[in-house]
Amino acid sequence: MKEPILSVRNLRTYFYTEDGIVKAVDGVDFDVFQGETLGIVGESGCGKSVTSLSILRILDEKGRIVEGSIVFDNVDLTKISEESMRKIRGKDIAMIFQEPMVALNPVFTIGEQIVEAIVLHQKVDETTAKKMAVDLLRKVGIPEPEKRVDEYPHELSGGMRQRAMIAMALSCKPKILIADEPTTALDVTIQAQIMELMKQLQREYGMAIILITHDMGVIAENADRVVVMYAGKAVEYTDVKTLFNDPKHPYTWGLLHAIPRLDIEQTRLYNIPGIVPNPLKFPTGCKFHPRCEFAEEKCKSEEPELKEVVNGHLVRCFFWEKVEQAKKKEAGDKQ
Amino acid sequence: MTEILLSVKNLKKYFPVKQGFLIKRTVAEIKAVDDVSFDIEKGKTFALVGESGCGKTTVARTVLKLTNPTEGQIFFENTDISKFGYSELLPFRRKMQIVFQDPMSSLNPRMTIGQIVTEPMIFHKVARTKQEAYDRAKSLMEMVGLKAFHLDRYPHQFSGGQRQRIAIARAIAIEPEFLILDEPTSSLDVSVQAQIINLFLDFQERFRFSYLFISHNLGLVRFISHTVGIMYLGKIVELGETDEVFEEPLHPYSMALLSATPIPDPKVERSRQRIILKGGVPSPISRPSGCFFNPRCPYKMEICEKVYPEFRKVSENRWVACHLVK
Repeated sequence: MKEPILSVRNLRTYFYTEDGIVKAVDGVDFDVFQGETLGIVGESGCGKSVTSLSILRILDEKGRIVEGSIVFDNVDLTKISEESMRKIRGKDIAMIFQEPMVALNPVFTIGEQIVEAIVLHQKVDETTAKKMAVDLLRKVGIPEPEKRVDEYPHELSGGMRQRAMIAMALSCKPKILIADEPTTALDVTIQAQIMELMKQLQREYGMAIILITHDMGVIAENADRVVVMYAGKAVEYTDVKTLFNDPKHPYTWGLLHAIPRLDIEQTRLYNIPGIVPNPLKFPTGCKFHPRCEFAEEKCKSEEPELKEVVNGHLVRCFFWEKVEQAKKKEAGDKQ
Repeated sequence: MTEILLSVKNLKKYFPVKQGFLIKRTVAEIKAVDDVSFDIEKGKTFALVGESGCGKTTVARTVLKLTNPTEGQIFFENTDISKFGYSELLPFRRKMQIVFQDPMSSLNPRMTIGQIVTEPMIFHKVARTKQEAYDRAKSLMEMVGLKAFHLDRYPHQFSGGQRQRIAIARAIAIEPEFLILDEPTSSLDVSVQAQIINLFLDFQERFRFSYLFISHNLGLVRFISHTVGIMYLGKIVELGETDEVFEEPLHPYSMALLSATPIPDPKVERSRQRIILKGGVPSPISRPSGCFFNPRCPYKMEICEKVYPEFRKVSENRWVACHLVK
């Protein structure tokens, strides 16, 4: 049995705002294994980014982890001091963001920023660090790295900037790379390049990736295991093949039917009625019940637990068997 | 017999690049739209696809005459409107509407939804009195899935999906025949996107609207459009029936674009061969010589660096600009 390198249990991160408590993350569980990619997928405001910020403990001052544990290397990251956390951040767990222009400092060259990260965590002098930076840039596929290392972020294209971000994140050979919507701001042909690069580097470094995205296609292509989030909660957690072939939560099932696909002809897209609820006033009971076609009275008052329904397949729903019936009916209709 | 509603012929739109401090000189031209032709049938959807900066939005703006074309003709119901001035355009403006990508910046924050939806009806004299316009607005709200009481609210009180519904209500208020949908769902979540797209399909069925659908989302394009044009650096490189182009793309760029788009199904996704293109889209100011796609093309030949391939008809409903395609 493989041991996970990161284990998140019952994570709850709340933001104490002037308008009230925002339960951005309210019950998330998952494991990350070495060399594997964990996908976290969900619509805007579901808490997927806050989950990743909680792992690195880089929440803004209003946010607090109120419950749960994040165990990395037998250490609970929610319990250790800020100083010990700083040694892990960027070294063992690194992160890349959606908008590299915002994440990179515009007044320093690419090289200076990578050198800073290297010198901070490794015992090398600046000249060696700069050589390492050039090598890293070459590794992530930036042409003419000797020249690019002295350029500023604005001189690079969006795709190149994301490559530079990856180079910086990899500078200390992290065990886990968190990628928060790494290709959302990029065109599809560039997205394909970046995802391919990340896969190749993952094989080479043997690192784990936590991939956060709203795009089910990106998940299908890259993830090994998937957490589906809705309104701050993990609603389904399983391996990628099972998730797509045999979704058990009504939200996952609906979402997969709402996506237009380029490889098949479709006549109608499935409608999940309504909208994602406001985090200040989440519905009572199951957070998905107002939009759920399978909901019953019980769902309005009681909150379902994230339970293992089949081996390794966790679902947060009282009536997941109803989705099974819907799937059978669907298969019948096709014949 | 098919009925052509809009026909665009050899449309060009160049933007000058000016330099100089006191005396500004034109030093270059950005050929945002360069010799683009297509037809849209009544009641059908034509989609323009391409990556950012390929000129698809400029085509939309030029067709609506929000900006004047540098060259070329735009036939709307067989009338060339490309040289028309303000007053000549008015009757055509009523028949053409647009829904933009970001509904927050396309709805005036200081107007109520009622004012936003009734204004075009009064301006184009579709409704005779304010009361009549308001009554119609009420039924429009129902049509787009909102409630009549929403008319007294302001745009900021709505979610992104609801705002897009308001923008749609405004666009269809004056009973147009042709709608340009410029990335209408790219700022929305998937579940809301499906609702809006289904709304467009309903309206097309009921009112025989024709759509020019602009998007970079190939899954959506396959779902909604009847014919499709794939653009690269200001030119259409492939044009045809949507299903045919998606089943069997002929231009290497179309192939790469389809191959780069992930499919939400791990079984299909992990068994297909992917084409990963080298490099990024070149700057539209200094486009490569010959075929613009040649520096990234996996099938490049000698001729591709010298001559831009002719946009040719290769079969019944298919046009391609590529030296490879015989």
